[in-house]
Amino acid sequence: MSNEQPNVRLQNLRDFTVQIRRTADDAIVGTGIAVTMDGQVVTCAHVARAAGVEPRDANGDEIGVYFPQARGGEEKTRRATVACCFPQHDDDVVLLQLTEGAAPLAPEQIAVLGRAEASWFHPFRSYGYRRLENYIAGHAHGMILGCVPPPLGRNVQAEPVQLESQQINQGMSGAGVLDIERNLIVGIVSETWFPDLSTKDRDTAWAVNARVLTFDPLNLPVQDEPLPLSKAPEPKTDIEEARASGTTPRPRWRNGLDEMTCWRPSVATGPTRSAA
Amino acid sequence: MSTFIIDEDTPILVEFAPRPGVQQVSLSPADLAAKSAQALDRAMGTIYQMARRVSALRVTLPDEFTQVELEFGVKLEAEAGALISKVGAEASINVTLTWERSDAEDE
Repeated sequence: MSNEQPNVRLQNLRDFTVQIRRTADDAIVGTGIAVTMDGQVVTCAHVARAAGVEPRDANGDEIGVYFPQARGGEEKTRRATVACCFPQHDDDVVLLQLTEGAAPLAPEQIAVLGRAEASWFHPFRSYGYRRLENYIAGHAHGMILGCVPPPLGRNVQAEPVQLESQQINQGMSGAGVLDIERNLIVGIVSETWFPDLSTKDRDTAWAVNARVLTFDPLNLPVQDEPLPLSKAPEPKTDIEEARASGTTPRPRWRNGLDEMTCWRPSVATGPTRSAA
Repeated sequence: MSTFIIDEDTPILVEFAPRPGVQQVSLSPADLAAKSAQALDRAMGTIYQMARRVSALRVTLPDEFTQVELEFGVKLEAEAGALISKVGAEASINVTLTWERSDAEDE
């Protein structure tokens, strides 16, 4: 159930969500989000590896990035290289840089990021390229539960964010987690739990806290203040215009009686009989 | 009478089930035939190693035991390759290894 007022609009996830592709065969390996007009895209480090590029040893190797929402006839199929990652830490994010030109998106199509700490138990939405037969993408929704200690042996700068959602599945890595109360992207989807026969914890998934994107060398801007919900123009019905457009004439029955003028309503006692 | 032609190069494809546990949710559109071949190779290696262990065990058994039978399952996974599992629905391959003491060994 959404707490959204009917006349407000959230960030549009599809505007800044991109496909991350393997250049060898153009196969989709995951999801990313456009975070600057300069052509920077955030995705998971393991998505870059699935695309055949080791972030810590990229050597300028290219990754495919496809912008489904590119506007104005801009080229949707682009290439990017790994601009930076965390070589000393295991936070599962990388920053990609388009090799040619800026992002083919308008300013309002760029993701606005926020730290996840103020989002606990907020509902969220996401969108990514999880495959359901011939459906190549899908929406997701759920709840942001809170931070948890990282897995044993993993050295991270921010604790993973635990999510509850039925729709986080393979292909969603790199998708943005949109807190619909704060209207900010507060996480990057990274992992999910596949339950055993007990089905315990079946809707559990994890995201990277967007806070890590502020750390060196990524240094992306994030904000703590909720993003104002854009107001959609309220529908206005001009009543006078509607009245002036005319009403349908009442039908007259050929064999119907004329109005009985002998009956006239009285204010005090009701209808009285008068001389015809 | 229908006839068919055997294609020596027909790949054996394995239907891999998602492994329970934490998994990263990128897509890995790798060649199913290659993954299947790798998993099967590992399964054959696992069966061979189990047979070696049974063979090593039998020489330690007292003479009154004339037969050893070992039954186990092998589960094929995309990541791990091949795992020993319980016999039955959980297994992709059910294996029975039987050794019988021959008269020649008694001499």
